[in-house]
Amino acid sequence: MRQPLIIAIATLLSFTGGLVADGAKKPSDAKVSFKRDIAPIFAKHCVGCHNPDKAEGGYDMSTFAAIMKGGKKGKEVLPGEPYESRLVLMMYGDETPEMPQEADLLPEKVVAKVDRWVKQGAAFDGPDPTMSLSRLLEPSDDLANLDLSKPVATTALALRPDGKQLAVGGLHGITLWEVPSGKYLGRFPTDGERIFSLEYSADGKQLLHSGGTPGRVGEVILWDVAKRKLIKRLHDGDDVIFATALRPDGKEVAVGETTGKLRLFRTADGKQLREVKPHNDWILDVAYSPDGKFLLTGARDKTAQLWDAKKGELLSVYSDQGEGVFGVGFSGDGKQAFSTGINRRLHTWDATKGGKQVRAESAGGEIYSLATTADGKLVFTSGSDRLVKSWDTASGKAQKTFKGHATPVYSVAVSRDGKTLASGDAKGEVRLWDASTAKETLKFVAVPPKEEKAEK
Amino acid sequence: MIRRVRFVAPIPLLALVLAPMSVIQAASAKDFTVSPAEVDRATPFDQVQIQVTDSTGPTDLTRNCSYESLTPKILSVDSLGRVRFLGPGNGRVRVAHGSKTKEVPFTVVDPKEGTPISFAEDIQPILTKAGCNQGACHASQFGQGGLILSLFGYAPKQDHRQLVEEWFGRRVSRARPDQSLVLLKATATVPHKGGPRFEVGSLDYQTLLAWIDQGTPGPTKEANVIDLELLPKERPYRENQTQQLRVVAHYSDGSVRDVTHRAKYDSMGEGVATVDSSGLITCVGKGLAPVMVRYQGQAKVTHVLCPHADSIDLAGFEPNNFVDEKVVDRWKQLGLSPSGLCSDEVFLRRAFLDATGTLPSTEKVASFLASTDPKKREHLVDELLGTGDFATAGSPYVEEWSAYWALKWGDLLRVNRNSIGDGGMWAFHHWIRDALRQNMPVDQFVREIISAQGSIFDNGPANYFKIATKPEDLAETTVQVFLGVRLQCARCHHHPFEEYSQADYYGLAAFFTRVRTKNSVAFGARDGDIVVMLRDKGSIRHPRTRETMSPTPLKGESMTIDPSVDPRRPLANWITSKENRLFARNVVNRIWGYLMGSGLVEPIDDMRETNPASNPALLDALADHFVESDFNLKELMRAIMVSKAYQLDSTPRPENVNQDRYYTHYNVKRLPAEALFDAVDFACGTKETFRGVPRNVRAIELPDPNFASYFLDTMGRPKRAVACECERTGEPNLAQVLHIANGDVVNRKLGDKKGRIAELLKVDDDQAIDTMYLVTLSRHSTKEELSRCKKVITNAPDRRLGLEDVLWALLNSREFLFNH
Repeated sequence: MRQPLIIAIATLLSFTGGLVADGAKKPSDAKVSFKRDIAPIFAKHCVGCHNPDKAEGGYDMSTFAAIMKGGKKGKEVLPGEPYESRLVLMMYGDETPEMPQEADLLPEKVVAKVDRWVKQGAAFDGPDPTMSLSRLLEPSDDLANLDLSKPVATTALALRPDGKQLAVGGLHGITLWEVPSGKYLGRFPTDGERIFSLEYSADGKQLLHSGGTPGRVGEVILWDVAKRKLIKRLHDGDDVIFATALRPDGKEVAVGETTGKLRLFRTADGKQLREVKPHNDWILDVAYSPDGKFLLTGARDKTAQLWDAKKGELLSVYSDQGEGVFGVGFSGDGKQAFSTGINRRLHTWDATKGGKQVRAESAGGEIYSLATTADGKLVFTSGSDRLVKSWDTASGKAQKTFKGHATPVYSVAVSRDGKTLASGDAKGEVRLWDASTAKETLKFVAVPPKEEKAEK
Repeated sequence: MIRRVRFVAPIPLLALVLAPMSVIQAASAKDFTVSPAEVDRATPFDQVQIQVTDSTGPTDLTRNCSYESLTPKILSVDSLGRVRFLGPGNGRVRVAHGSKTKEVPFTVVDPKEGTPISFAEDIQPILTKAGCNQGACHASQFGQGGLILSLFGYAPKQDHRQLVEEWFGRRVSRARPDQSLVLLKATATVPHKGGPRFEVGSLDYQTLLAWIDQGTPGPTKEANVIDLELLPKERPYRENQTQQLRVVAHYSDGSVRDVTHRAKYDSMGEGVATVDSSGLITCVGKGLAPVMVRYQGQAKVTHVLCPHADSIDLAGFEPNNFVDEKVVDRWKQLGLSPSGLCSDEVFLRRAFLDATGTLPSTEKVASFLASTDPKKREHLVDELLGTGDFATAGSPYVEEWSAYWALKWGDLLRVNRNSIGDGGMWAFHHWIRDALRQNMPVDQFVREIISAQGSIFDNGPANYFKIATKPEDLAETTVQVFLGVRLQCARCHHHPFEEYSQADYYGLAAFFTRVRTKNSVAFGARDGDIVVMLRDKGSIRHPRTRETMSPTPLKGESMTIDPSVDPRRPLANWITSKENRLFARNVVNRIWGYLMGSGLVEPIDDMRETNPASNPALLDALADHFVESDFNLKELMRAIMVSKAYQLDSTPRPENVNQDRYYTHYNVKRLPAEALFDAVDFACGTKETFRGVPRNVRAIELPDPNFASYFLDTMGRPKRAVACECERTGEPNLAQVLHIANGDVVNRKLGDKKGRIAELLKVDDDQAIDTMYLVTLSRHSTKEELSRCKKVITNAPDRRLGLEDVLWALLNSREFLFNH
């Protein structure tokens, strides 16, 4: 199996190699494309240190707009004037600091290309100047030939409030399934490779998802379930978005980014209402309280935080976990908050009184996901021990164990009536359960039927 | 693990047979040998470096040859002689130098037949070579950008989990392997703070891609690297010459693999040799530089040797014994010439201070200088040590000798009442001193310590188990003191420059897990006596794998020890066995270092493959001698002290000023704190008294550092807190200079009413001055010195002050402060 792939790659390489060589022979006035020629150079050699998170010299180079805006020392690129443009001079080594700073200067041929692009006017030929370079370079054309039959880890799933439909995150898309029959209903294709969060609106008509491609693409999209259509693209990012939540009234959406930022958007027009930075590391989960007044965030920085959703004020920091927080949630009555994660414990917090910890119960493995019932009585967790468990919110005692998955269980969801439970594992296997008896009712691998095409 | 390359060793014989024919060939084309001569198994994940060597000499021709693939569908070769494999079949590379050619056959196998890519053997080396798992990058405490790898890949399971599972498999894409974050980051296709580490399509890239495509198999119990073969191991160079190294890994299943492209290279002497990441050495200066090569936890060195001169001047240097022969061999290799021999006066003072930490009496100086015996130096050594002619009668200096070496052992074994109480301190100190008085063989000495039991007040060596108590600390201390191996790093991770792993560390600690201590009231309830005893059970786990470790000597097989046997006994036997080169080498290196001013291995207690001796043949010869003498410490010292190398002048030849590891001259050293204090007392005719010991106890005889003395502390007396040679410092500093020049100690002693000066007031200036030279510098004054000193005395307000000034000046002279 290996041989053809390697040869294919080798062939592809020699082919691209040829292209570059041809390019070099062309006269120097050939039109330089930012998207095709320049963006890859900047993405490869510059953006590592010049990005919104750590913009060395105050210079962010992650988008065309930012590149043209310049840094602390003013504009770095003067269109038409390569030898007045500090960016070009530093890349040639004619001005200090030489760039890239901690590596050798780039080959003169490469810098000459940047030089020519500036001389030709430093034009932009992509769809959106505020689009990140990595996004600009994402090859989207090969998605058409994607092999959808390979199962991928089920990192997100959601049950429609009526318990009759299941949405499952898959490869570059979300699949919909009928419950309890397990009949395939359709697929939402996504730009991003992975889906990390799924949530139905209270009326079941809309589906909110977040995800992306690691290190390249982040997206938050609201879908029309019946029409199988995209309603609104709420947010884009340069890295996957693990956490998103729909306010119970459906009017606002909270988004937690890997930058540690939490953003609130108005669902109707997609307008950003608020931006705060509660965490120093990836936000991995976010949840609204049942009344929509509070927001709970959990992050890799080992804390969970309780926020006033309206005022954007921090209320409490839960920092007893000491490890990354994978999952957060409120009890159905809004009185308790839960957080879980690497430390293998289900932490229960008092959501009303200053964030006091009520208890921390030990589970058998890292807990990746949690779901709570609307009546406030139960919380379900799924984890690396390949089990799903239910816990009594009043006593904190483990109730039922749902055995069956053969790999870590990454996601769990429960229907509004608390009767149906769904869980998905690392190998893409989805199981449906009777939530009260812990009996498995159905299992299937969540890949679309063969005839399904990946095309949008 | 059957997919590795197997090489057929090159056949030098064939080259020799062919050699005469080459003479007829054109002069520009040299006859050459090729390594490897043949490769009988290779896969597309291998790369092989072809190395070409001039048949008539050590010259590397790798970069002077041209290479051609005769089978382009099966393999490709670049201009540097690196071969990559494209498809199955029999391939050939033609190597050409001028008109001469040779062919190297390769058998490339279909990777389909092969086992999956190995995480430990294929993937980890890529991460190491690319620098991903360096301390400054993803192996820092908190990793970088969320990815945390183990330092140089010592924890493969953990690393595999990080790459494959962490954050829901963020870093690999099974559905689209070429879109895996790990590849996009490493090639900087997406922004990467660490920049591009390898290129799309490179061997590294393809191997990672194939690994992801195969489902990212994790580490399994498979063959591991047990040895690295470096070609060449050592060769002479001229400046600007280059050498392409070839590195071959040997695996526990007997297979071998070319890892030249995956190994990491570091020059340990940038002024002599540089090395690049492809393993190309360039000789840039004269001297000797080890180049370290690391691969998968194994580390080896190759030596770049570029002589300082083509011939050397050995005038007057006739070897006395094997020590001299080995020293001369090294001078010849390096093109170094020695200084002349030192004078009798210098030799006498040197030998006395080195052997006993004591200055010779004025009578001894006089008789030694007067003697016309041509063998008087050898005779003096025997007299000091109690060897040779003095073997039966014993040395008249046995008290000084045993005191001085008990001080050294006391440092190493950390004899200190703070940890073992007064009773323990005296018991241990007396035991050491007695063992030295009897010249107890060092192996016995060490065995008695390592297997000691009982009351620490009764049985001196039992204190060893109170000074360190935890199995981990005991393991570290034991190998550092007795084997010169620093194992501390391996407590937490694999030692990056050495072959010792965490398993070695905890396997060694497992020997000590049954040791326990119990309070004893034998000497009264509050006296603090402790009994060292053995419990029935005790074990230790590997901190990462949680495996219970069985006792295992370093680089040895694990031992099954009967519960009735004290596990420390087999350990002590292994440590002190005549076959254990580490033990003999460690002792001889320490003694050599004490006597010669620098260890053959430096730091003196950091012996490892990658920190080679400056003269490995001498280290081995000394170790052999030590073993043959049944670990006789005095015989070892004798071999060194009677050598001509020991008798060289301390003034270096101008070209050797910066050399201190090849013993072309005697390396000067400041007197150790205790010996210096005693020397000041001797010169001043005084006797410092220390609290709690009889008046006549000298500084070198003190059992521990808890005798308050600003002088001793300032001069570098160690606190005996760590088992490291580095604790005693010979480094000069300003406080020392000021203390001797202006401190109260020296002034008090100069002014002592019953001291040296009082005595000298009774004799004339000539005799007084000469005596002062004899008691400080162990020599007579010269005429010029005499007249200058006389002037000082004459010009002084009174004679006593004049004499004091002269003695003060002598005590502050470098000739006094240093052994030279």
